Amino acid sequence: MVLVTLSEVRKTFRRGRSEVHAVNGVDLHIEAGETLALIGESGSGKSTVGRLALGLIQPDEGHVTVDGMQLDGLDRRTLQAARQNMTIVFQESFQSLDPLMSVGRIIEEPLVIHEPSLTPTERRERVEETMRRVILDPGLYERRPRELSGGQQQRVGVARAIVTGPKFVVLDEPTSSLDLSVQAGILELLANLQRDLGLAYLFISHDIGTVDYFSDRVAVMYLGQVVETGPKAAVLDTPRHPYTEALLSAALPADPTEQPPHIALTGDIPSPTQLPKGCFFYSRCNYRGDPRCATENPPLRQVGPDHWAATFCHVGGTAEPA
Amino acid sequence: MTAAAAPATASLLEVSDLRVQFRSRRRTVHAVNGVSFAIGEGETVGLVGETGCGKSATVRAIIGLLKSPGRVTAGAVRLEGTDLVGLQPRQLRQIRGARIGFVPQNPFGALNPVLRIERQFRNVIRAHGRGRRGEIRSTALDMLDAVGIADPERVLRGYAHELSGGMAQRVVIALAMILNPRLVVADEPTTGLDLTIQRQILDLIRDLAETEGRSMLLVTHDVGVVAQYCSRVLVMYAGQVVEAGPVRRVLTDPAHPYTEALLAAVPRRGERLVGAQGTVPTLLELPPGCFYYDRCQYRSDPRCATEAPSLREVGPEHWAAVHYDKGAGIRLPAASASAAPSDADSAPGDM
Repeated sequence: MVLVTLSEVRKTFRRGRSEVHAVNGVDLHIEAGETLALIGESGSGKSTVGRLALGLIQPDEGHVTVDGMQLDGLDRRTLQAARQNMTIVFQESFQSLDPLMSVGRIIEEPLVIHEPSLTPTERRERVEETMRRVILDPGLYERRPRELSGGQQQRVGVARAIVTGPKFVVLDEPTSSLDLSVQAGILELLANLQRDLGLAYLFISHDIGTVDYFSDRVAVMYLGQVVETGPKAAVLDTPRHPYTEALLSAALPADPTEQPPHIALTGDIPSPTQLPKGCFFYSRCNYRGDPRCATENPPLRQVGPDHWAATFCHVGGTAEPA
Repeated sequence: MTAAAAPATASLLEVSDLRVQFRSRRRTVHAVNGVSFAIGEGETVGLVGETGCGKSATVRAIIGLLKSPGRVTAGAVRLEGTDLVGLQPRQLRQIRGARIGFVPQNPFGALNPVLRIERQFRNVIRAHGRGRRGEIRSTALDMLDAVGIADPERVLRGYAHELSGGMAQRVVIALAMILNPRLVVADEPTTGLDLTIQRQILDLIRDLAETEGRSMLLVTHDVGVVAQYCSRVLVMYAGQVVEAGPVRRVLTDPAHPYTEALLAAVPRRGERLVGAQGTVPTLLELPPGCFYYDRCQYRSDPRCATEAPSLREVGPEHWAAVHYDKGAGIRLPAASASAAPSDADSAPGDM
């Protein structure tokens, strides 16, 4: 069952006199209980897509639907009520936690908003039950966030996100600032919660290894567009967009005997204030050759089972790079 | 120093029994506890470990930039025979830049926000007493060109805030290399940069080191960086080097249980992730035995609890600080992998 749908979503931010075209026609869907990873580099629009999917910002064009409810155009109160169903876990949980509030109060806060009928005792029970679920000692209820370790802080962030019983959680680089051994524990926790609660995740990450370990499907973003999407193994093993291919080749395998060739890109990502006319990747592409590349923005076309890429060229296919 | 972790070639840098403490009125943190290693001419050595393992304190002690209240309490840091520990700040300034180039994690912290980039090149070169304005300018332009800056003239005229993260790191690398130091120390030089930029910067650092035969100490938490860019690796845990050796050996056949646990925490498709059990010692008081004892899956030797193991050779040029012999057939018990997860990190410190 499809839980989250973004269709033809566009978002432009005004910055002074210029316009930043952050999201430029994104189509995505997430099934209940699955993890869609969103990868891409700084400025590719990943986090903006995350915020759009939660209705935290409204699209200029297109629609966002979560669990059958269209979020764009909702009035504030209905949207607020809908948010019980969807939450976010940030990268720097410490920075997203109020330093003066106790751990228990931080986790409790969404309940106060979304389930006002609960008594304080009932809320406390729910909070302690949630703390146990994320493997956080309920004895830490009265502590302040700074007294906790990085991994414990991130567990508080997860507890706060799931306390209202959501179906959809955006994970925005949830382990990027954690050590490997701590990251392992958080990823395991998130996987267990997904299995037990049937959560759907939008997993925003820049780490290919973690994406490979953690996700079911992958969407690759470049300059505010999804340039490739498909099942994890298809996208990561047989990328069909030149940007995906280059991005994956920049990952550093932890195994020293594995030394895959690196496909270097030239130039920088174009400015989102002035979008290119043809394919957004044209200026850096090693494969451009089709006359349409310079003039037309290629739509996503199917390149395999549930595997889509926005190209006119053939990467990993029969044609050689131009 | 012990012969441990010694390079195959003549050493340029020799660190022996280095100890660093952070003392405040209330407590003392033993950040570095007897670290010894050497770096040979032209080699790239990785220093890997997690938050609080002492890798940054080790590096800062080497370059003489320990932040207060940290100080070196014992040991030596010999660069081409000269002990840098105990030198006056003025003498250290002469060594930094000219003989040791330093590339920090945050390039914007290293660049002065209110000075034009050209002025910063001039300051570095003049601090070492050479150069007229025109010469400095052309040296700087050449160096910026060498680090892959497309429009060096414009960058020289500009300020740090006009640069992207990747560009700023290139400028910092140019500044670190401009006096042609024999040793370059890079502390997490690509953390926080995008994947494709990280790759470009690491390639650049490697090329600049290789063409001039420079030695490199590359500090990182990223096992992939070590695997792809270093020839030898030092693994740090609780302020000690617990394993050292050729990258291919250490990362494929680790001899220390901590190294093994670190590698098991690298996410891989279809494999079960194993988070670390237990917590890192606080380093407020050093345990009597092996620092890894509490978390160790292998402890068996009676000395483990009472005696800190020193590095011993476990294979060709491969050293590990362990009492037990992995060859004796002690393996990770399968049951422990499914034990309840617990956070491996200690309570936040303020080192």
